[in-house]
Amino acid sequence: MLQLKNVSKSFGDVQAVANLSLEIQEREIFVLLGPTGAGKTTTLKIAAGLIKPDGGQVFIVDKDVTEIPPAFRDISFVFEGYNLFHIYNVYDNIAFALRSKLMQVDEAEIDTRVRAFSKELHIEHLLDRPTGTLSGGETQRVALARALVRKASLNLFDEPLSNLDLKLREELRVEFKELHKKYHSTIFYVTHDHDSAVSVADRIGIIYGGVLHQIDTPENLIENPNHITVATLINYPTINIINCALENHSLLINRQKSLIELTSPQLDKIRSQTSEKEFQVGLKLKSVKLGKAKDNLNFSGKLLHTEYQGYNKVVNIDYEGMPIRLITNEVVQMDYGEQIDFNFSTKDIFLFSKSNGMRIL
Amino acid sequence: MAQIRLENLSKYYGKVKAVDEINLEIKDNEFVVFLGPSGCGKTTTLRCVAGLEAVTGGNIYFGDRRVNDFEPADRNIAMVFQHYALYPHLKVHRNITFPLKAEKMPPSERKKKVKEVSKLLGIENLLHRRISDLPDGDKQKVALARAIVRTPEVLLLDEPLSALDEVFREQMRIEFLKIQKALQVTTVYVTHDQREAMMLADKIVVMNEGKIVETGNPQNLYEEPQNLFTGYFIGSPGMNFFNCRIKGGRDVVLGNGEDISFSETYRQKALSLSKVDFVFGIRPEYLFFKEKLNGEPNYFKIKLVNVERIHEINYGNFYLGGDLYKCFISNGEELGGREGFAVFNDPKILFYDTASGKIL
Repeated sequence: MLQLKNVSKSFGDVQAVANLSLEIQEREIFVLLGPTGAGKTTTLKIAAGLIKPDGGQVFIVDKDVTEIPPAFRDISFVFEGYNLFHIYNVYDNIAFALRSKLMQVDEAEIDTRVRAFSKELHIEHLLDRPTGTLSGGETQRVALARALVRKASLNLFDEPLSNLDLKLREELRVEFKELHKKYHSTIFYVTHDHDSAVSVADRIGIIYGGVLHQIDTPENLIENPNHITVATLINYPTINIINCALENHSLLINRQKSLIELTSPQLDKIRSQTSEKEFQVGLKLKSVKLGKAKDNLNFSGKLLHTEYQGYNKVVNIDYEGMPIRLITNEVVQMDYGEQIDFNFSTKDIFLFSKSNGMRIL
Repeated sequence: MAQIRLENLSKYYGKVKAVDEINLEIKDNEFVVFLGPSGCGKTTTLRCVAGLEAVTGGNIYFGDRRVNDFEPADRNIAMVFQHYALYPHLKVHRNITFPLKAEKMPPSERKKKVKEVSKLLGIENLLHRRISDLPDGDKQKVALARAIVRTPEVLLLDEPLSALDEVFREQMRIEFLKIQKALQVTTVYVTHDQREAMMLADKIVVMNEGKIVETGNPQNLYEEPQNLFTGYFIGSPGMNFFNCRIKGGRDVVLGNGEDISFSETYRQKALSLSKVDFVFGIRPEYLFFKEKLNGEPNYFKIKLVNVERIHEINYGNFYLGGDLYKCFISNGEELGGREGFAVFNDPKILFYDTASGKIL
C-alpha cells in the first residue's frame, strides 16, 4: 500500500530521517513508535507529500508519488492539534473534504457518510455544534471522523490520541480498533505513547535519531529486539540495563564483580561478532524472580521501594549501586534497606554492544 | 526534622477557589505526591508551601513554626520545576554550586558538596559540560543536584518530569527514589500522572476542584478507593463502575435494566444500603470472563468487543449502556465477539453513592 524506499531528510545540519525504508500492507495498522525528535512526524509528512525528501522514493499502491502533491495522493491526514475549522460546525467540518473540487461527492452521499461515521464515533448529537465549543475528546472524535469519512486508501495519523486524558485514550483506542475492523482502512500511525502503540498496532517500527531500527509485531519486538533502543522503547516498564565488561568467561559489573558466567557457545557467539570488551546487559523485569532458585544465578541486594501498580508490583532493588527492577504479583512486605534475594537465568539475558547498541546475544 | 502541617489552607484568585480549606499532615522524611487533573489546585498548594503564593486563609506549619509570613528563602526548602531554570551557558558544576556561593560557603567545602551530590546522581563525568550541550534527562538531574546540594529540610517538586520522554521519565523516577531515600528529606511532589504517583509515593493526596478527595498509600487507594474519583483516576486501566438499581425492593439490576446475579451475602449487603440506586465498583483484575458458568453466584452477561494486552496482561473490553468496561482474561485467546459472563467474587465488594461518589 505504502512504500518508503531509502528516504532521507535533513534540516540544516540535523538529519531528521536517515535512509529509511518501510512497507505498509493493505488493511494494516502500522505504528511508528519513538520519543520526541526521533523523526516520526517527518517520516509521516514525507509519506503525505508535505515534506519533500532529500533522497529516496515514496510509493502508494505501487505508484511512485514522490513528485505528486498531497491532494492527489488519495490520503487522509489527522494532525496532532486537529486543525478543525472553527468557523464551521461539526457536520461541515466532517463533510469538508468530500465537498472539495477534487472529490465533489454529491450531497446525499455526503449526508449518508457523515451520519454513518458520526454514529460510529458517538458524535451524532454534536453535528450542529461549532467545533470551538467541544471538549478534547469530542474534538478528537470529529478529527477522526473527518479523516475516515473520505475512505482514502491510506490514513495518516500523527499522535491522534496524545492530547487526551488516560481514560479517554483507553476508550478511543478500542473504538479505533473496531472501526478499523469494520472499514478495513490502511493506517500509518505515529506516536510516542507506548501503550497506544502496542494496543492498536499490527506491526510497530521503532525509530530513534532518524534511524528505523526494527519492524515487527509488538510480541516479536519484545521477545527478539535487535537493538538496545528497541528493547528500551518496546517494554513497559522499561528493561533493566546493566553496564558490563567481558573478562575471560565473565561479565563483570563495576569492573570487578562477576554478574554472569558465560557458557562456551555464548562466548563463541560474542567473539564471532565483536572484539569489544564493553557491553550492556538487558534484562526484562519479568525475567528477574524473587528469592533463590537452584538452577539460576542468585543475588542479594537492598530493597529500595515497591511500586504498587495494581495486579503487578514492581520491586526496585539496589544491587551494588545499580537499580535492578522486577515485576511480580506477590505482595512484598519489606522495608527500605532490607536485604532481598533475586535470581535470573543466563539464557534470559540480552547482550548489546556498548558502542553501537546492536544485539550480540 | 520537617513535618509539614496544612490547616484550613485556602487560596482564592478572585472568585476562583484554587485551594479550598484543605487540611493535611506530612510526616518527617515522607514522600508525598499531590495527584489530580490540571486545575485541581495541586500546584497552587505546593506554591503556598514554598511561600511563592500568599495564602488567602489558614496556616502552614513546618514542625511547630508557623511559616505563613516567612519568605521562601527563610523556609529551608528547595524547589525543582518542569522547566529546569538552569543557567544554560554555564558549566554543570557552576550551576550546582550556585546556591552554595549565595550562602557564602568556603570554596573547599563547596567543592566537596558538589562532588557528593554529583556522585549520588551519577553525573560526576558531566561536571565540566555546558548545560546547553546536555540531553533533557541530564539537565533535570543537574537541576535536582542544585536543589539538594544545600541539604534542604523540604524538597518541593512541581511536575519535574513532564517535559521528558517516557523512557527518560522512568529512569529519572528511579533516581528520585534513590535520592529521596538516601537523603531522608521530606518531599512533596506534584504530578497529574497516576503512574508516577503510584511509583514514588509513600502517601498520595488525591485532589480535585481545590479540595482533597482522599489521602492514602498507593495500595489502599488502588484496592479500596473511598471515592469514585479516586477509582477513576488511579490505575491503568481504571476501575469499572456499574450503575445498579434495586428492583421491587428485592433484586439488584444493572442501570440498563439487565440482570446482575448477586450471592445472598452481596444481595443483603446491597439491600442494607437502603438506596434505590448505587454504584458497584470493581477493578478489571477481579472481574473474570467465562464462556460458561460453573455454579458461580456472582455474574452478569456480557459480549466481548476485543481483547487488549496492556503491560502483558490480557483485558477483555465490553460495553454496557454505551460505556466501555474491562475484565480479566486468563489466557491470550482471541475472544472478540464472544458472549459470556463477567464473574466476580471479591470479598470486599465496593458500593458507592451515586450522587456524592463516596463509598457506602
